Amino acid sequence: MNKLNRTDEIKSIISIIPILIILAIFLYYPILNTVFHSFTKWDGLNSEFIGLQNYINLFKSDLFRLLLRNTLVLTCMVAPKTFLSLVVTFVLFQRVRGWKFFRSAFFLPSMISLVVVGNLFRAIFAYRGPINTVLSSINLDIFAVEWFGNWISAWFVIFVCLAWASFGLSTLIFLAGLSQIEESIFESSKLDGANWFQMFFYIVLPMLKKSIEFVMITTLIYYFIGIFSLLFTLTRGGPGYETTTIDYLIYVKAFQSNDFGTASAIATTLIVILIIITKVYITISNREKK
Amino acid sequence: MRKEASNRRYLLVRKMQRISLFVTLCIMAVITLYPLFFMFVTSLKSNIGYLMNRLCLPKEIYIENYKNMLLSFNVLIYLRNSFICSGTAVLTTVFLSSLAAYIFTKKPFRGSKHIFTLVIFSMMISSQILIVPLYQIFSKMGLINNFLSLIIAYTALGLPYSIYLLSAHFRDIPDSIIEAAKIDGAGFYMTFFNIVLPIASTSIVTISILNFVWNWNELLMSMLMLSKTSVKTMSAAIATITGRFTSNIPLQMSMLIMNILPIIILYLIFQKYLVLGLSTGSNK
Repeated sequence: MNKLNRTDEIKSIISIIPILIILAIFLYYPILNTVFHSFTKWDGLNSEFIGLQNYINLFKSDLFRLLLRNTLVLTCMVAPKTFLSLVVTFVLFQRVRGWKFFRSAFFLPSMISLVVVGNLFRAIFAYRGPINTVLSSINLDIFAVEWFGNWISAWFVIFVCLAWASFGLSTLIFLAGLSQIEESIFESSKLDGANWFQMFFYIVLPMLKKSIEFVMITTLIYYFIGIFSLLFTLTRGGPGYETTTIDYLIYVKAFQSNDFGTASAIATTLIVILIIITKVYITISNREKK
Repeated sequence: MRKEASNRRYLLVRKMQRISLFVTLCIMAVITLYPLFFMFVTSLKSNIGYLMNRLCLPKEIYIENYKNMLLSFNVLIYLRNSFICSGTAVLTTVFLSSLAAYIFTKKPFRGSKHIFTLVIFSMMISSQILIVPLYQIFSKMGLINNFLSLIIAYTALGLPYSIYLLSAHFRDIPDSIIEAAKIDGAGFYMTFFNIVLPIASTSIVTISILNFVWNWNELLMSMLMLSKTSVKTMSAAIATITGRFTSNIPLQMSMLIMNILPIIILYLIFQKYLVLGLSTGSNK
């Protein structure tokens, strides 16, 4: 038996090696390479070590303040989206007729490419698009603005896109979390005369705490690393740099200004931010387990 | 008597509540589905038809947009390219990640826990962070404008999450089954192919669909690595070509429809698996 275990162990190691090699070459090496090049001036061919200069330039530039604000805006978008999904979850969980159909309908947009979402909402929010047509027809001309002309309305459209394209997925996760709560709790609270608001705030929210944390963290990480294709098709980071986020700026610096050193410094900053977020999340969820 | 009356009132209130919930859901569904409806309806309008009537159904169905897309914009080539890249990457990702999940959960070796943690941590790595070095690696290998570059990149990026999700499912397979197989003389690979994979087939379908959708929807890498028309993917084509006809919204919409059609078909067929798989990963 022992010998058998031993051969199994050797087979495990031999079989995992090709997978690790792929990860090492195409995932871990590029990360290290990025971190290394963040300390160099790099045009793609020759790199010259310049210490922290890239970081200093980045933090001193006017762009940095804008970047910080945009990151903050992204972060603030997490809570309303999570709340929206929670409300939808609560309504769906009442199991009215056809709730499964509604669940599918709400989840459908999550499958669609952000490239498509970006193009679609650019058309919908275009100056002469359907939204503005409706707004003018009900005499709300003041709101029929050039949506992509200033940062507040442009970010609003981005929020609409992201909420539309992802609230269904969070709803699904919350529903899975709720199904672990015993039905009897709801029934008895109903008999005790609890109304919807009480049930929502005193039963659903506390019992879904773990799922809510999970959804908020994954949403935040997703907003930091996953929305390049939306920005590329919707606003191109504009007007100016008003909707440029960290991950979009990596693309701009690397492939539009060929400034690979700065691009690497921004990417490294993003890695650090992500590690911090993940660490905080792990610490919180471990503390609760105890 | 009084009790009966209050009972009836209670039932009435319940019924009113149900109806109001149903109406709320209907309104939300209309809001959610309207953008898709708009996309579809607009794609059936001529450009002038759209300018005159932005919101409602077209007066007459205009299929020239789709004809145009198929005949003069090479859409079929882009769709084929997307299928080749996404599909092949799914096969490699799923095979490698299920093998890895099998090893991590059922056949661990000394130190495998640390490697697992390392793999899980790389879930948060995105293509933007890797793109510059990856591009250089592939151009040194001469793989730019070759499907292989994208297939390899998708596989590497898909592995961590797939390993994570499959491990969560594989853990539910009882160890006794694996032990029994071993006593019956099934070897390492035989156990994997003949026992673990069939038992876990649901989660394997789920992870295949998820990976396919992610690969199909990916933009940055496909745009940079496959830039020639003959190898361009559908996402990249949309992002780069729609700029050429910004004033012709219906034509754009027809292209978008052709991009989401395969995904929607997949979704309708495999919904059940997706719902199952996506809700599992979060509760572990």
